Formats: sequence, structure tokens, C-alpha cells
Amino acid sequence: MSTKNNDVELRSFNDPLFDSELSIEELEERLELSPWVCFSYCGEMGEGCVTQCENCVGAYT
Amino acid sequence: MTNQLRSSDYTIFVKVDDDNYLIIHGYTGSIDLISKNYAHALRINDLDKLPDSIKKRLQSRGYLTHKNSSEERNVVRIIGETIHKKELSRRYFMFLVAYDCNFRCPYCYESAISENGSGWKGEVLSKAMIDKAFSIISSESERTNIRNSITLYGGEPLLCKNKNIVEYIVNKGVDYGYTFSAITNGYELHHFNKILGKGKLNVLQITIDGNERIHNERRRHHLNGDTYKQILKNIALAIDNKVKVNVRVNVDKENIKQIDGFLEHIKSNKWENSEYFRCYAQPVQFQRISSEQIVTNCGGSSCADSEIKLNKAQLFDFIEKELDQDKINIINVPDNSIKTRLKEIFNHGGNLQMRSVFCSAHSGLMIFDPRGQIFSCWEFVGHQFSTIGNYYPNFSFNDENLKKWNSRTFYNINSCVKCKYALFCGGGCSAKALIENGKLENSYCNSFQAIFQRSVKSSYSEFLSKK
Repeated sequence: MSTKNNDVELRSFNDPLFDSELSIEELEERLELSPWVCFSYCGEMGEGCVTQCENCVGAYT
Repeated sequence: MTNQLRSSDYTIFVKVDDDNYLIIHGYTGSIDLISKNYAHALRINDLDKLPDSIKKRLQSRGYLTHKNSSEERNVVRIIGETIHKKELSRRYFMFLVAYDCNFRCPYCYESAISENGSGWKGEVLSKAMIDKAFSIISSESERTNIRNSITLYGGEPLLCKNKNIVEYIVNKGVDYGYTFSAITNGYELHHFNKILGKGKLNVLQITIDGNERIHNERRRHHLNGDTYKQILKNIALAIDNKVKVNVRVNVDKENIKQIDGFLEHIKSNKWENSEYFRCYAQPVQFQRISSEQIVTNCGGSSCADSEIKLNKAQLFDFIEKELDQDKINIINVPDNSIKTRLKEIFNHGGNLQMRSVFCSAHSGLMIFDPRGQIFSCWEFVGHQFSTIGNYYPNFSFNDENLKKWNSRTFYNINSCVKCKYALFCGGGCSAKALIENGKLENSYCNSFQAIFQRSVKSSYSEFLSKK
């Protein structure tokens, strides 16, 4: 995988949360299992999250 | 699927340099760097210009889809509903200690509450109310997922004259296993030494409005006048006590150029290097609501403060163009943690967090006030239209209002569910939507798209510079 920008055709930085072509039923099942939702306390409180959920996959700072 | 493969409606394009774009998918969460030619083909749905191998990858990541627009919106709605179901199983708590305040700031919501009569300002939470509130918190904790920190709010929550009751709240909360944060002006903080520190009152949001002159003009003590120096002393006191201090700088076009003086003070005290100090700027506007309803729609140009109000994009512009780099690094602009999170993702993978609402006013926040009422939005405490129930002497929810607040999700707003940024934004602040756009149920974008684009560019640029 190239690191020089001008050589890039497509470089992926992460995995998608789910397959976009999942059926609605499969999607709902997948979502139920996901710990990635954000319970941010208030977006007005500054950049950092103050909720700090136990299962957070984010970067509360 | 019988539909033809096409470009998704939910791909966000961010130009990061002359040759490349970052693309971020609004519901699969994929994040990719792509050459500008492919980005262009994707944007205009000219799939013949894409090699099969690229097409296959773009499809696997959601940028190409067999779903039509309506089916994509349905997916976004389902994700929103699922997240919201989880959010509604949580509870967050605030104690509004008193509506009274020792400051008289021109933009404060209390100017509207004062229409309720001077008696309101004399009311303070009683021990009986606090005991009742904790019994509710305790019972809620048996059936919901509760945040282990409680926020103190006002008025001004940390008034010396209310010290005994504040200590009662904190000590009782600590016994129940909670820690505390407070949204305070910080002026009388030094009277609260006994409850400051780890395991007790350990997070503070304190507001400074620029340099000494402009701050003292805006944030005046009602008897003593100037407040700047005392607040700075108390910020230092808090940091010394290992209390996390989030300094909020309220800005508009009149004071934005004066924030430099405060940033100088931060640098000279090396606060920016402390793990206990953070600073962010937030556009401020004057509240224009009566105790019962909105009396002025501030979306129009006729509002006096519309001329001095900044939006977040303008704030970002100012910070980038007018401040030196070392000061840019000190002051943040709230962006739903997009920039912070992306820096992690570029290095280690993962996903941006998604949300169904802008804040917990729509998903479980309970604010206990000194009149025995419960509110969910701290911008509208004290207003009858926004109460979600009572807790003292008897506990009951106002089901109609609770439903109204809990259903203000992005997916219940037509313009939001079509928006590719919706799951990262949550629909924006409902209080601002009510004040500026006339209805709680309206969206409030507040330049989110522009902020998102800037945060992506900025975090990617930092990522490249550190390689």
C-alpha cells in the first residue's frame, strides 16, 4: 500500500461497520451487536467527550 | 437487489490536496483516500471510468451501491433508530443547585427566567429534595445504564452562600459511588476546597470571555465588578488540585479578536501542557425566549445580535487566519470529536462515532431543579414548556413533554435523514433550532458540514506531517 499521496488510487484506513448490501434484517442484527454508538453528553461541551462510555471505541479525551 | 450499481448518496468528499480526496461514507463509516480522477467519476456516477477492481472495493465499502435513494435513507433511519434505542436506556443526571447567580452576563438564559419573579433566584435545593433525587437516581440505576458522574449546574452552582448544600450533594453522591463535574463561573471556587479533587468534584467547565478588559465588561460580578483575575487564580487552584478544567471561551464578532490575551496567559503559565487543562471556543448568542415560549425568532436579520453572532465556520476561519500556530494548538472548536477521532483512525483504524441525537437532552438527561421540577435541556431550564416531569415532593414524568424531547432525533427530521453528515451530527442543538429556526423539531446545522470538512483536512494534514 503506497504512502505517497500522488501514487494513491484507493487506500483504506478502516473497515466498514457493516456490509452496505446487507438486508434490513441482517443490518438490524449487526447493529444490535455493535458497541460503536456514541452517547456523547453534549456536543456543546467542547471537543472532548465527558461521557466516556465503558465500551467506547472512540477517542474520548 | 435488482437496482443498477450507482454512487451512494451518502459519500462525503473532502479534497485533501491537488491529487487526492478523502472519502467518508455516511452510514458504513468507511474512510478512504482516493485519487481525484476516481473521486470525480464517483461523484458524477460515471462508473465506466472506474476499473473493475476499484469498483469492487468501492462497493464493498458502501460508496457504490445497488440501493436506490429511498432504500439508502431507510438504512440511515434504521441505524438512527437502533442507536437511539440504546441511548434511551441510559441516564445522566444534573443538579441545578440554584437559579441565583453572582454574575450578570448579557447573553445568559436567566434574563428570561427573571420574568418569573425574584423569588426564583432565592430558591436553593433542599436536603429533602436532594435525598429524593438520589432515591430516584438509585432506582433508575437498577434498570438503566447510568453515567457515573453527576453535573452541578445553575445559575451559579458554586456560590459560597450555598456551600453547605453543595457539600451535602457531593458527599452524598460520593457515598453512592458518583463523582462530580460543575459548570461554573469559577469566581467563588476557592471556597470549595474540601470537595475539590479526585473522586469528588473533579471536572469543571469555567468560562472566560477573552482578555481581561473584554471579560470584565461581559462577565461582571453583580456587586464586586471585575472577575477576571479571581477566576484565573481559581483555575490555577483547580489544576493544582488535579481537577480537570475545561475553559470555555464565549465568542462573537465583538470579542473574537481579544481571545489572544487569554491565550497568552495560558502560555505564560504553561497550562496547555497540563493534562488537567483544556480550552475551547464556542460562539455565543443572546437568549430570546420568555418563560413560556419563544418571543423572537433570531434567524432573521432584524435581531440585534445577528450582526455580531459568529457561526462555527467563521470561528474556525478566524482561528486559522489570525492566530499563531502555537495558539491554534491551544484552543479547540467543538466538532463532535471528529478531528480527535480521525487522528486515531488514520493511525490505528476504527470508525467515527455515530449518533441519533445531538446531545443527551434527547436521550436520558434528568436535571433536578430547586422547584421540584425535572428538565432535560440545560438551555431551557426553568421554562414550563420544557419540563419533563417533577420529582419533589412526588416523582412523575410529564409523558407528553418527555416524548417530545426524546423524539427529537435526526431521523425524525426530513432534511436530516437525507443528509450524508446526519449520523455524525445528530441533527444539531435543538435549543438553537428553537431559538433560531422556530421549532425544536427543526434541524440546526450550525456549519457542521464546513466544520467536518475542516476537521478532516486538518487531521489528515497532521497525520501526514507526523509520518
